[in-house]
Amino acid sequence: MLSDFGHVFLVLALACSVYALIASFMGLFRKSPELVRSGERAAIATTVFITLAILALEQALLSSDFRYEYVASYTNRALPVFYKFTALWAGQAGSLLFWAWILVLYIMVMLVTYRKRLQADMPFILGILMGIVIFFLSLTTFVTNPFELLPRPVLDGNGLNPLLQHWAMVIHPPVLYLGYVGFAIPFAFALGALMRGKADNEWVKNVRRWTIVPWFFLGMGILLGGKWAYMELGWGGYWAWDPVENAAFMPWLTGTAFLHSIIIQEKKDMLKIWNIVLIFLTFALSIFGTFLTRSGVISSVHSFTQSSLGPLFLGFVVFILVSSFGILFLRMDLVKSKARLESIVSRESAFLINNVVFVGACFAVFWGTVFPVVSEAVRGVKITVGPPFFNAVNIPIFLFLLFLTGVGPLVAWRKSSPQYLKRLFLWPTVAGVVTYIVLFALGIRHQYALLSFALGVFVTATIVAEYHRGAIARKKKFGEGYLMAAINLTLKNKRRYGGYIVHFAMVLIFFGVAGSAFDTEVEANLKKGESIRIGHYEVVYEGHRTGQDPNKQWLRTDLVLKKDGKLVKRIHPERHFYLVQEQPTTEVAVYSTLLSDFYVVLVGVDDESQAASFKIYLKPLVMLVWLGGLVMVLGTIICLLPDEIGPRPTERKLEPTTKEVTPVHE
Amino acid sequence: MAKNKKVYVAFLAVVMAMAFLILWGFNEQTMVYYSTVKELKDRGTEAYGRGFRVSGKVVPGTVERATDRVHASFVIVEEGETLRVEFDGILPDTFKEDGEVLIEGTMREDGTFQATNVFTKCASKYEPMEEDGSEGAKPTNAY
Repeated sequence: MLSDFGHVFLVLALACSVYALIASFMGLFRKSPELVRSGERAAIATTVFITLAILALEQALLSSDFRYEYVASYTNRALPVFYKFTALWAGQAGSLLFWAWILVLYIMVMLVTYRKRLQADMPFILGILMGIVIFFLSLTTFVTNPFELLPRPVLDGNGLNPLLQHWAMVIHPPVLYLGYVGFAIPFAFALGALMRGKADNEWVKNVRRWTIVPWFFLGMGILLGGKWAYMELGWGGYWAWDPVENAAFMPWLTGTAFLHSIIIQEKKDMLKIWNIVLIFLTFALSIFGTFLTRSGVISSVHSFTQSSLGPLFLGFVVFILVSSFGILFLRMDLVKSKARLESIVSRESAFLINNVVFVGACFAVFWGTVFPVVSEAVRGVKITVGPPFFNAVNIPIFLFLLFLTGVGPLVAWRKSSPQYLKRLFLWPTVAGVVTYIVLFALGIRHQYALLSFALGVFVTATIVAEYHRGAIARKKKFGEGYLMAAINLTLKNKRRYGGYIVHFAMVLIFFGVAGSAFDTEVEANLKKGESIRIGHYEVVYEGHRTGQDPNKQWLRTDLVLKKDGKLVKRIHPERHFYLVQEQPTTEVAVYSTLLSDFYVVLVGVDDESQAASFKIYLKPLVMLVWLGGLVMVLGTIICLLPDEIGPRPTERKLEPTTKEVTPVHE
Repeated sequence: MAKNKKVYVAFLAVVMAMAFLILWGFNEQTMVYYSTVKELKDRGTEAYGRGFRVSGKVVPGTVERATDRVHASFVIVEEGETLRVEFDGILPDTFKEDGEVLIEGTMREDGTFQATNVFTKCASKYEPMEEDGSEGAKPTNAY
């Protein structure tokens, strides 16, 4: 059987990756193209062997081969096939193997794309990436091997943690890994360019798409994790500033800063060092995130992932930081920027402030997350800070970022005249202020929420105005219909308009989060036939049923949800009890509309009185968070579309000061 | 050069504002002290009203769940010291008697601990089965 060779595949993959690293650098040193070629072939062989190892593990999982510790730990016979398949990333050993696999797949795509075009850089880049592959393969081969055998096979396994048996949780880890791992590529491009001694603007151009892809996946991974927490953990929220959530959020913040600041380097030849620092930090934070998740240094609700790998990961983070910053220091003369800032009211300044604020937000999250460790080391008292700290610090920072989202893309490069500013911002500002006044008049007094809505409307207005101006211009010039003009405008300038769509997605997410300021929470203890009113809604409890399937026992309640007296939907909050794991889970029932979520948690049914107790949440605007995620998918796809799609691509090569970068209406 | 100076002043203002936010964020309302049950008791009256995070094992047989409202009460033990915990929320699904829990909340004057958050540590459950079937105590009531 394939799985019997799993360990062999791992060892062979490790051997090939070590060879690939040595051959790449030796090939450079000896100026031998043959050696470099053989390094590339070894990288391909590594990919093949890791793929075989993945297949081997899948075979063991799907056939419930309980000779293996991994299979016995994360699956059992009664588990649905789908979850047996996805158990590949349910545990640590499998996750790390999966990490390595995603990384080599990224490397393969990169090799195919750039081998010819970046011949001189490729050995450096490949060597660096293979170093990262070696780290992960060493872990799965020597420290936490997914093919570890049990002393004696067991009859049935432990099964998958029932909390993880949810669709969002199934795709959440792979999506998140695609994000974390993907930052290795831009990291290697930057470090490779430095090592080669040609750190001009070329690497920045090549790296843009390779940053958008992991950035996108990381963001989606975070949102999916939130969706899972919302549906599965039954506490009515999707974000809790838990260390593991922060771990994913930090590289997303620096990655977002990087995506913005490379635009400045591309167009204005500034910020060369800053960009390198940002991508180094982003990748280091990605590994640091894995460290936080795996080490259990900081207690977290994600305690099912604790292990002894902490020191190894921390060591790897330190190694990455020391070596990459060391090389940057040695090559400092290569990356001095000559251009300077001329005015505070310019796009450069707006982007720079955006960068500072993103990094500041990241630092605040980092400081809050590691504070227990720091305070213990410095003062001997272990102090943690929870959501109140993160909210107090981050909400103002993010509101400022939202403001910049509206301003940054519109102000001109170098400097903007007052007349120009007035033309751009008069109406959006009016829209924002009117929003504030109207909501205030309606009785909303929550300042942060008011500001979120006002700024969100401001940003949306700037985006709509941009589309409008562009579409009108095209209509005049090419005689296209308004809608066609707007679509062509987007396709002709995908980076810019795709970016606007992503900004709009962020506005939606801000609205959704601001909605949480108006959550209501009610406890209800209902006998059969009784009802309770919350807002416009009324729920009637009609009774409960129980039952059992091979995996679990279930308790299901029947509720009738009415709005303004009319029946809306029958909903069924449940509790499950998983037999193998001896663990109950809560299955919430949610009735979602664009305006609000009606969210019901079944706490339990009393055996004697037959009364059921529920916790009911009315949560305005949550839907917009997920909707924002979907809009972000659209915007990112537009950003990533190849330049060839759409009418007359003129944006092929962007010179530092082409006319194209000034707004179309100027 | 003068214009350049303005840019730097703006940056400095932004950075200082953020630094201020972070410093201001650390205050008695946001800080939660890690503490053992014993340390918490030794603090006496000084502990009232402040945020603490304690951990311990749930003492079997002490868990009481109210049937008329969402409330649970249980005793945790750490190194021989016990503490009664009151919680007006839904216990996590992984909460078990004799299981490790992590509790955040404040000390009340009657000597009980008012929890705002209850987390469970359940790593042991996902370790390989060493002693198959030796864990006898199955919950009698599934829900």
